[in-house]
Amino acid sequence: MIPREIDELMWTIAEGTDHSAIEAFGDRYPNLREELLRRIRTVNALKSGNKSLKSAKVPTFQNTQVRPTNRNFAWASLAFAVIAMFAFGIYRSVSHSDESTTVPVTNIESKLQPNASLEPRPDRSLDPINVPNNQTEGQNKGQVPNQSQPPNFPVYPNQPSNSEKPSSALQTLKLESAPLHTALLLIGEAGHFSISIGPGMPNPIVKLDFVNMDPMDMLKELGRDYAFTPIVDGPHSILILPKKDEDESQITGNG
Amino acid sequence: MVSIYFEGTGSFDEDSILVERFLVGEISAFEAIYAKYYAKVFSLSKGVLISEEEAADVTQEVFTLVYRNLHRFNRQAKFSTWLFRITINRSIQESRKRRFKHKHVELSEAAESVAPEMADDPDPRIQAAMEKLTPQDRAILSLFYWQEQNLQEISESMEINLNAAKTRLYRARERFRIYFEKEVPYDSERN
Repeated sequence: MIPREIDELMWTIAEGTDHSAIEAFGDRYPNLREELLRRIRTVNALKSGNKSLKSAKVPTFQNTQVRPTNRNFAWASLAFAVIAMFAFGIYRSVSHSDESTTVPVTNIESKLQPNASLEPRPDRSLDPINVPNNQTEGQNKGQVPNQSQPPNFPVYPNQPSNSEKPSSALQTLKLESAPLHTALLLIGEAGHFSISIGPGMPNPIVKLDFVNMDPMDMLKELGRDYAFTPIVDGPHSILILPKKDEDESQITGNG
Repeated sequence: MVSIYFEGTGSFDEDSILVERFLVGEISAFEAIYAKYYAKVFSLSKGVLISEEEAADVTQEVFTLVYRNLHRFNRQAKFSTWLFRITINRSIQESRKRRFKHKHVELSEAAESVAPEMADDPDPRIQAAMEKLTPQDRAILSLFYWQEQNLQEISESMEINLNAAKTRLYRARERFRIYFEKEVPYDSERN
């Protein structure tokens, strides 16, 4: 074990270039001469580790962007994503407000087709099984309800019935509050299929807020919330049945 | 004409004059700083990072930082000390981020490096020993042996006290010696 003072002295001598100091140390501590030579070799290696640049090769200075650290980059990415989503949301809402045909009723906002009108369609029967009379009357007459009445009228497209087929076109359907059966019939109208509501279906008040969605998907989503299963019952007919556990695997239609 | 008075040091040197000239809008003063210190910054960064390509990138970033933040230089220390502090911090930061990358660099990638040309290739055995050290050890050895800074300057560059600088230098040098002697056994060189 080399005493600390000797150790420091050896490094000092190793880092200098005084040959007489090296000789003097070797004479005084002959048993440490070898160790001193090792340290000199180490210091020489360290000093020679640096090679100078060729002066002509210094590149031109460019005031470039400093690369962000990982954390800064993550925050910047997150902020960008939030801003992008916000901007996209605004864009979508503005574009939809321009495109949509809004029914002038306080609690219904529906967009079906560009040529949609409020005229009742005489060739279209809604087959409102289990739908209360006060709702079906309004539907069949095409009445526009006021706020005290539930919004139970369909919006019919001006198309002949023989050209109808289940539509997969995306629709926007918003309803502040309405009985479930009425909502189902509205969705049926949007998708150009008739809705048959099976026995035992509850009829709670629901709120619809579907934007750019396939009517069949609307039914499925509503079915998940209110425990029913939409079943394709023909080319233009959907049967709505209360859901049982085993019905999960029977969901048919587009999906 | 720029009048220069340095409260901190009580004197002025060439670097201080260049800094002041740049701060009053003389872009050529920065070019002079860049030309004077490019090799030192590159060398120090390479000492920490080993990779010449990465050192070249970091060197550009260091000068970009200096260009944008020179008004923050408080003149209490030498300009070179401030510059080396930025270089070490940025290089260590980079080495942490890419510490595993070196091991996977393909030879072809290394050959395509755009790093400045060196006068000679350093001894690979010294390189091998240096690679086994931590970035902090390499930084202090680079400052002491390559930039020829004294312990006081090292303590300022690394933002540590004088005793810590002395201890760290001693330990880094010992660790280097151990690795270097494994690469180049003392007896084999004597024979």
